[in-house]
Parts: sequence; C-alpha cells; structure tokens
Amino acid sequence: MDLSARGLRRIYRSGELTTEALCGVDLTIKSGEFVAIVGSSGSGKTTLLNCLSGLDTSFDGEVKLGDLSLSQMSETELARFRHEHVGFVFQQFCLLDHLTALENVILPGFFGEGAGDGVDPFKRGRELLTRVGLGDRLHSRPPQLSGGQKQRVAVARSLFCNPSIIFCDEPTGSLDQDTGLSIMKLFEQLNREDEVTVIFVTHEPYIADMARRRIIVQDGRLIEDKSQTSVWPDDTGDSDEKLKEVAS
Amino acid sequence: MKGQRFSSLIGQSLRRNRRHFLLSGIGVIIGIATLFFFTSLGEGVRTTVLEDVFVIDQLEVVDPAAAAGMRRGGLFGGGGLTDHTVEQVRQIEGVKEVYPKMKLTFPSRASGGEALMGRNMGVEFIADGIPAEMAADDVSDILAFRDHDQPLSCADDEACPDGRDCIDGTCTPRSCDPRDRASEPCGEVGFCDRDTEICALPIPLVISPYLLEVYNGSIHTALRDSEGIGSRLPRLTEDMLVGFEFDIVFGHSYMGRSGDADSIRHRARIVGFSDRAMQLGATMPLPYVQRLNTEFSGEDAADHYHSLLVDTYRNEDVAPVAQRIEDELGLELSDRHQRAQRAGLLILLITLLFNVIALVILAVSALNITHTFSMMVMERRREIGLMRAIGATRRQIQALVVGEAAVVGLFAGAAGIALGIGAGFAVDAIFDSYVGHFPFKPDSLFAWSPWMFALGLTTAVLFCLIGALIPAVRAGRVEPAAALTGR
Repeated sequence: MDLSARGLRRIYRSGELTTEALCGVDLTIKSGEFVAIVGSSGSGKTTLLNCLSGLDTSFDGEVKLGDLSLSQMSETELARFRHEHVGFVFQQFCLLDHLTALENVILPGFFGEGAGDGVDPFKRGRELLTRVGLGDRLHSRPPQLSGGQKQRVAVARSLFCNPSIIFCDEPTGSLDQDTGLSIMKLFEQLNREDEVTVIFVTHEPYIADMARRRIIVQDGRLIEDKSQTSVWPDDTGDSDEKLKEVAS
Repeated sequence: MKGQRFSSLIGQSLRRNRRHFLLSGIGVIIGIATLFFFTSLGEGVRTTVLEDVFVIDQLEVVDPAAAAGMRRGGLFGGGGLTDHTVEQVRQIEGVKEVYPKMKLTFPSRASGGEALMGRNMGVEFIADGIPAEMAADDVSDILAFRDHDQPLSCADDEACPDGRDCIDGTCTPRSCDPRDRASEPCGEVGFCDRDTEICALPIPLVISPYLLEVYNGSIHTALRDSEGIGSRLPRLTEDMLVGFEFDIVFGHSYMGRSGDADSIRHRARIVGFSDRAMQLGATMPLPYVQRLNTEFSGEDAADHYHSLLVDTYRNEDVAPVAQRIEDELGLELSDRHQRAQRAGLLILLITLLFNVIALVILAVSALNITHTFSMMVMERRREIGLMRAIGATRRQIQALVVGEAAVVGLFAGAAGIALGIGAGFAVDAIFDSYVGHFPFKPDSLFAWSPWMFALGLTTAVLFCLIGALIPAVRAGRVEPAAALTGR
C-alpha cells in the first residue's frame, strides 16, 4: 500500500508562541521503497515521520495508507493501525530495561489483535532475534547489550507484527559508524528480501546515501525529493567495503 | 489484550517498581489493619455484651400491670399472662415459639455447700420455672432437666429412673431407710426422702452463666483477701457446679414464711448452665413451680405466668414482633431487651467512630497512592509512549495502571489484615496478662468473621483504585509522539 500526504501542516503551540513545523507537505511513498528523510536539526523531519506513521495526528491535511485515512481514525483505530501496519525503530532504542531481549521483542504481542496472534509469541520472538543475529542473547537484558545489539533488538521488535512499513527515527544516531552501517545493512536486507517499506530519518549524509530515495526537509518544506543510486552494489553481494568507503 | 499477557505485564511492572509500590501500600496496610482491628474488636465486644451480658435474641414479654406492681385483676391491673396470652403471642407472624416463665410466689431457702465451700451455708432461694425443652440442650448432668415427679409408664424396671421399680406399668418409687447409707437403694442420683421414706430424685436446676460470672467476678474477687470464711470461698467453674446438690426448704425462708401450709424440704441438683435461666436465682422445670405455687399460694398463682420468652424465626422478625406484642396485646418488653438494644447501639457507634478513623487513614493513603502513581506515570512516560506506539490503546494503558493498583491493593489488604490480626493477638495477650478477672471477661476481645476479610480486601482494592484513577487517566492521555521525542 502506498503512503501519501496531502497538504500536511503541523503547528506546535506553546502559550503565545506558535511554530509551524510542517508547511503543507505533499508526498507519496510507494510500497517497498527505501527512503531517507534528511534535514538539519529543527527542520521538521521527525515531525514528518511522526505524522506519516500515525504517532502524531494533530495535523492539518491528510495522510493515507492505501485507502486508510489517518486523520479520520479514532484513537482505538489508530492504535490498531500502528499495531498492524507499522513498526518503529528509535534513536534511543526504547527498550524496557526490566525485560529480556526476547520479552522486548514480543512486547507488541501484549496489545491488540495483530499478526502475533495464533503464533507462539516466544517462538516468533526467538526467530526474529536469530534473524538479527542475536539468537544467543535471548535472555539478556538491555543493560547487558551493546548499542548495536540494542538496536537489533528494536528492529526485531518492529518486525513482530509483520508490518508493511518500518519508520526509523535516527536509527544510527546513537551508534558508532561501523555499528550504524551494520544496522543500515539490516534495513536494506529487510527492504530487499521482505519488501518492507523502510522510511528513516537521518541528518548524516552518508547514511542518507544508502537509501534509494532521498527527501530533504528544510523549514517544514520538502526542498528536494529524488531517487538516487543506492550504495548497495547488488542484491546479494557484500557491500561492506563500499559502505565504509562511502562513510569515510 | 489477553488476560494472561496483561497479568504478565502487570507482574513485570510490579517487580520492577516494588519499592514504589511498597511505599504507596504502607498507608493502605495501616488503614486496613486499623479497620480490621476495630471492626473485629467491635464485633467481639458486641458478641460478648449481646450474647452473654444482655441476651438480645430472647424477647421477654411481661404483663405491664404485674411489672408496675399492681395486683392482678384489680381496677388497674391486667389479666396477667395466661395460657390464652401464650396462644395469642404464638399467633403473631414471625413467632417461632413462646415459652412461659413462672416464679416461685412464696419464700424459700437453700442450704448446703459443704463439699464446695468447706461448710454448709444458707441463703434465700429465688427460682422460677420454664418448660423443660427450653433448657434441654444446656444440660450436662446425668439427671435430666424434666419433671421427675410426673408418673412414668414403663414395660420393665430398666425403663425406670434410679430408685424406682416398674409396678403395674408405672415407675413407682422404692421404699428406703434414710439411716441406711450403705445399700443405696435409690441409685446414683436418687436419695431417700427422710419424711416419706421412699426414694426420690432431686429437683433439677439450671443456673444462668451470669450468676457464676457475678460470683467469680465480684463476690469472690471482693472476699478473697478478706478475713473469715469469705477468704476460703473458691473460684467456681461450671464443671464444679454441675452435679452439685443442696437442700431447699419451700415455704419458709430466713426472711419470712408462707401462710398456713407446712414447709416442704426437698433436694435439688444443678444439672447445667443456661442463658434461659433466671439471672439471680435458679430455674427448674415449670411443673415443679406450678405444683409448689398451688400448694403455697393457691390455684390462681399457678395459672398466671410472670413472663413469656418469645423466639422468632429470624433476627429481622424481632422488631416487628416486639411492636405487635406492645401495640396489639398491650404487653411490655422486659427492660433487658431495651438495655441490650441501647448497649448494642452504643457499641455500634463506637465501632463506627473508629472505622471512620480507619477510613480517614485510607483516604490519606489513597492520596499517597495518587501521588506515587502520578510520579510513576511521569517516570514511565517514555515507556507508555512506546506501548502506545506499538499498538496499546488508551484504555489498555489505563487498565495497566489500574491493574497494578488493584494488585497493590490486594497485597496491601492481605498484609493489613495480617497486621490487624497480629495486633489483636497482642492486645488479647496483654489483656489476659494485665487485666484481672471480671464478670463476662471474654477469652478474646475480638471476633473474626469471613465477611471482615472480604471487607478488608475489598476496601484496600477500592481505595487503591480510587487513588490510581487520576494517574491512570493521565497515563492514557500520554501522546506517543510527544513522549518518545521528549517534548
């Protein structure tokens, strides 16, 4: 399903002060795209991500996933939408420290009637953690994991309900370069193999270069939206060397 | 959210925040302990007062004219309480049974007690009579509480009581020699009447536990350190008194004597303790009193009862039955019933007062819970934002907070009940050790009933839920985008 925004405006109010974070954004992202939203701090890129993902619906205009209009959904429908259709990965990982890696991954299964139902959540959690390379850290708690491992747990959690889109807000922002590259590789693999739409926000150009489409936001407006040749050389090959070259 | 996953999430949260929850639960624990302590104390005192001191489940009806001391049948006197009155009361809806009571209407005295007191003593004897079935369950002696002078039909000697033989189908007393103390022809409980020289059975008596309490708690306490015979009076128990025999002289007492009739000497035996017995005196089966009153006071005295004990089917029937007895039959209730009602009301009010204090403590602890849970919601704002992001609805977040509060309430309630019981045991131990004996001193000041446990747990959960309500609403209002971006 395509994700589209029409006339998207978002204004923050704080007392007398109003800030227009998004100024009438029009945008369509097709299913299976690998998109980077780029911009400097305060440009409105995270606000755009939040509005597109249904985390924030206090906007004017319209956001639709296929025929589903987010602005017309009730709170409960929005919760169901987030549960069934989208996954999230955040800069600060947002893992619950008192839960194990496995329990963090299956956390979405505690809510709603989603893809996790009918399947043993622990079995699915183990599969997802194995897929992101943490099959041997199932019962480790976040404080016992490195930054990269935490983000892999977050990626596994985002996949728990088989989402069609994964939204990532600065997914490499808290990681060193090598670890950030490995996480981006993981997203590319998910996009290519599972045809999951990946939309990520970053302010680092070399991370943005890894996307197949780059959207540049400045002062709440899209100033550039173009497809680009991905740094990924092919669908199967090892691109580590080229990635490091781009990063350097 | 499925129940098992929901409870698992609550369990994880409780484990993580156990210190917070413990702190917020302390107030509830103290409040529930106070509530439980005073409720069980009130119930315990109420039980003692209303079941032992003033027996509230007995409705005692008296003739107002007799109660006022007027002569029966006079200008202002009533018609007295007769079998007709008994039948009238029996007809009132809710009345299960009516038991007439009749007092001895002539002077008598009792003497004996050497076996218990070390020497024989004499006292004025006051007694009444009740139907035998009223005290049947309270008898613990081999001599039954019934009219033993009533002729008994029999098939053989085995069917007759001690000292009687079956002659012509009737149990007939044996002849005996009062000087012969070796052959015991009158059996274990019978005795040889020295006037008639035939075997007889003692008059069975039941005594009120109140009388024993008054003796032990007041007379014995007052005299034990005195000089003279009083200091040798023993503290008595029911076991010591059941089977105790003494002599009664009917028609002649230390204070006066009956008109023309000769006095009669008879033996009496205590066969048990009963709440139905008169409080200051002794109670025997009604036919003895009727016969003796006829003998000493004339036929008329044996036809009129002094009071009626009324049993109702249910406790709720007591008030309407009492009302109808007063309004329709013009009879009065004994002042014992009114005193019992006043005592019950007083205890209830005091209990309520202390329970109000407990509720104030609980209300303060509910505020504490509101504060603690609000803090926790603020601390967990990012976590709540995450849950909302991955699909939790507002209601599910609210249910999570409320669920945590309910579990805290359950644990705090159980701990409060345990603390209340512990405090009760401690108070009982102190009471037992440091407070001397007094009439009706109970073994325990507390009465614990299942409904109190339910009350404690329900109240604890209720106040925790009330305390968590506002934080739960706030938690449900957390916007995921704002929480996750720290805005």
